[in-house]
Amino acid sequence: MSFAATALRISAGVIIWALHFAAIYGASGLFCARGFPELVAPTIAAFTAIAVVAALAVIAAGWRRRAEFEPWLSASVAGFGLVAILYEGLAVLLVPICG
Amino acid sequence: MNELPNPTPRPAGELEELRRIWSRPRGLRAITVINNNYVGVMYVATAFVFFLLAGLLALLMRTQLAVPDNRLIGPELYNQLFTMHGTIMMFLFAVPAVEAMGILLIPNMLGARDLPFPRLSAFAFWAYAVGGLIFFLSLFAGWAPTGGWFMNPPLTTERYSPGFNEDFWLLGIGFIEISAIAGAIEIIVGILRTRSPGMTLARMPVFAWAMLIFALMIVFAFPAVIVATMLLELERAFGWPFFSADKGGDALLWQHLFWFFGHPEVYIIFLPAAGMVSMIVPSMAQAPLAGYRLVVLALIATGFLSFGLWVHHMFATGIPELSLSFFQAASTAVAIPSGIQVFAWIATLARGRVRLNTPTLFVLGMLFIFVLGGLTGVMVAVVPFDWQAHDTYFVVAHLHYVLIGGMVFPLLAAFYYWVPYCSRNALSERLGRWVFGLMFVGFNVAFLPMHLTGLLGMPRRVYTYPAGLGWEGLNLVSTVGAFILAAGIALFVFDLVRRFRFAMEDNAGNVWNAASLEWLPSGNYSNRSIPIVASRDPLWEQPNLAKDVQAGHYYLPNAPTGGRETIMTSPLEARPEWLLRMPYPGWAPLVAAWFTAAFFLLLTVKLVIPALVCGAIAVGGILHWAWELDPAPLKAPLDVGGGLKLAAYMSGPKSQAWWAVVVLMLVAASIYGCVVFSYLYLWTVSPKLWPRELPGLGPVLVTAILLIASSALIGLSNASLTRGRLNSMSAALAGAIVLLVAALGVEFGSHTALSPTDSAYGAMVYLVVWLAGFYGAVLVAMALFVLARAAKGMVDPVRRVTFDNARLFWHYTVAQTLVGLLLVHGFPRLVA
Repeated sequence: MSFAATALRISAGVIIWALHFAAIYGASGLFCARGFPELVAPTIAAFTAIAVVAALAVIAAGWRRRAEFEPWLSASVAGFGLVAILYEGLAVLLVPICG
Repeated sequence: MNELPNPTPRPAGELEELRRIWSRPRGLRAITVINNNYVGVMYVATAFVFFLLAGLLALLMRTQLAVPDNRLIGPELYNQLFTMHGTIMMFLFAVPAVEAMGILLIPNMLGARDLPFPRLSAFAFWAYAVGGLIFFLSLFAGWAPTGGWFMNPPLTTERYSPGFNEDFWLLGIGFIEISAIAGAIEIIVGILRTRSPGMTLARMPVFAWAMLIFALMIVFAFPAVIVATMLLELERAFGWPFFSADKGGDALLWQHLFWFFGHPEVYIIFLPAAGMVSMIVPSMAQAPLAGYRLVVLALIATGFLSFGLWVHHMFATGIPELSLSFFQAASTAVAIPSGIQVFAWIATLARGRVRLNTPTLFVLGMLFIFVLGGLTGVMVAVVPFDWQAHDTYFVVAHLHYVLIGGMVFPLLAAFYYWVPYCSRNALSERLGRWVFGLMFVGFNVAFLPMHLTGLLGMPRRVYTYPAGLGWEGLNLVSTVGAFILAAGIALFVFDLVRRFRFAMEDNAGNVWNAASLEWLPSGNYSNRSIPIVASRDPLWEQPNLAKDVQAGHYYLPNAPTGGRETIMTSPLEARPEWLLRMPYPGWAPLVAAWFTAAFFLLLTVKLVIPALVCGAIAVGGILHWAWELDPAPLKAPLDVGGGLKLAAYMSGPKSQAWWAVVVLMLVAASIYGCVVFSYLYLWTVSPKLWPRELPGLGPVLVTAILLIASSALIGLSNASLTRGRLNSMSAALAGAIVLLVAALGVEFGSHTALSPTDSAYGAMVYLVVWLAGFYGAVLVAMALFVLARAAKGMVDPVRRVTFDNARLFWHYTVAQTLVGLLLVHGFPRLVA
């Protein structure tokens, strides 16, 4: 496999995390600034669901060949990304929206 | 792969030839040295001098704060002192110090002869050393910046901070950014392309992993501070109101950009230090690193996650609570990978027989201090607690526990550990214990009480305080501790002066029985022959390695091209691909570096004409330097040992230049990303400024078509070059220049009705357009350079690296400018 493809696979999990993070932060900031607080929770829930599925897919793909270094790394990085995605998404259940 | 390529004895004279080829220049030319060992040591030493200077400033501050109502230092000077202390420690000590350790160690650790762009390292060093020293001297003229190392506007805008002081920060830091990025490109390409054959990613030393992540983080983090400083300087010098609320700007934009750089910066400093600890601990325990894979995972996870923490420096700015919560979650989550590394070190120490010598002591001290700093880090990551502790001495205590524990103690461990690698003598073990004792006790006496001082309410950055608030005793203790810490560092300097004698061939050697390649016998040429690596701890698991390397039994025991060279290997499996011929020392990189620093610093004091003259000389230096690159190809492949024949010339995706340009494009894309973010951010803040009606789309369509056509001409030019039709290549290239200039002219002309000083919207549009102009100018310069080389017969279907560089950057820039057109002309229509 090419270097670029391997590098992308290894970082796929945290790239998904980064996109999710930017999306939930951007959406909550924009919806609160423009007066649509009711859209915040469903948007974050939807983004989080998409990100979780994507991270699980990366984990599944890497874990099958976990004896090799790069696939193991790809799955583990995505596992860490998954924890961070869930942990950050959880905030929407606990903290007042646009407060 | 385990058989020796050259098992028979080597002919006499080979080693002498290597010594001659790699010898350092003598006399006045000695300073033009570019070999990584010399540049690395000079770089580390300079960074350490800045550590001492910034430490002296800290002692002045601690003396001032020792007693209440002290009149020793007034508020003006005190502001300069804390600003310079923070700025120097972060920009002139911490980042350069770890970058320097990379330049010093990485080639030998990977088994390469040198880094792939040795003159770029020299450039990075000299721009930093000269510029940094002059920046420091601004203190003595009373011109040093006063706005804190984070320089928050509106305090730092022209209205509230007139004069040169803040400009010294904004422009003075410019050369540091250039220097750091130059070093990062060097390190990324070096680690990915010059590893010894057999050193796959899974066998790469943890320090190399850490430096790779470090360099990539620089590529994505430094652009944010480049954009931030550019915007603030444009506001100060020309009145473009990016941060002025009365014209639709927002001071918080600065904080977003600055901390998007500033928080990763903490990990930019910590990760290489952690990488060093992961090299030192196995040597001291005489056992392989526990959890290698997990440590690599932790480095990657920290590197990425550190970009999701920046708002935790802005918890008290009034951002909505839910948004803060995302950052609180990310800030606590990042403790996980740091914890993984700490447990891996403890497990390694537990599995081996630990030698309790000075490097070990510093590592143990680091564990204690850094873990405490990490714990208070989790405390201040919690929003309600942070609101209480914000801007108090609790934060001062926390950040020093993290930075001194996470970086200074590991660096001292690294100094004790690696001095035998580049010095005739190791440092004194007996004095080392005293150094550690004084530093450890002094540090904790100085900073532990600050947690309490902070909880008792003492704010940061105050030059004095009244008696009777319960702060006196704690402050006095902190001051005593600071001087004990300083005594430890002074003792270290004494030992260093007494014992350190630069040496490569007759260095003290592998005194720790360490496992990594930098401990092989070496000279300026690095290792006599380039080994085949078969494990993660080669010196332990390949017992004859040192002897065979020294006897020339591995690859490249000689210099088949007759000059400096190293083997380029594939980035994943480290298979030998080709032989990179490397440059010799010269004045051009030094002249370019000195005058780059002079350009920025003269701009600071508004000496525009001399600054432009210096800028022109710097560009001349760079052109002279670049002219010597891409040497004429050697036709026949060369034998590097064991029947392996490698080409001694490469263009295209396997060449080192291609990789460097790709990394440079990542830097450019990050810069542009920050500009696009700034535009969209200001729109969320001041949507009313965005126009309801815009002029017709005619001109912008013309611009877009001309840009795309210029890219097409570059494609045509490429096809002509491939077929050997040099005249049509040059004609197409010249045509592309004309189209590009025409495109930019149309775009500039379409914004004449707008003023950049009236509103933040106008300022943003002008910024995007001027950036397009700047990139266009760079493209024109690159294309003219190719045309000049072509006219001299230095470009042909084989020798085409200069052309490829220009081609890659051209297509990238056209794509970027099209994004800019969409933003400036499309986005307002979308939201109108």
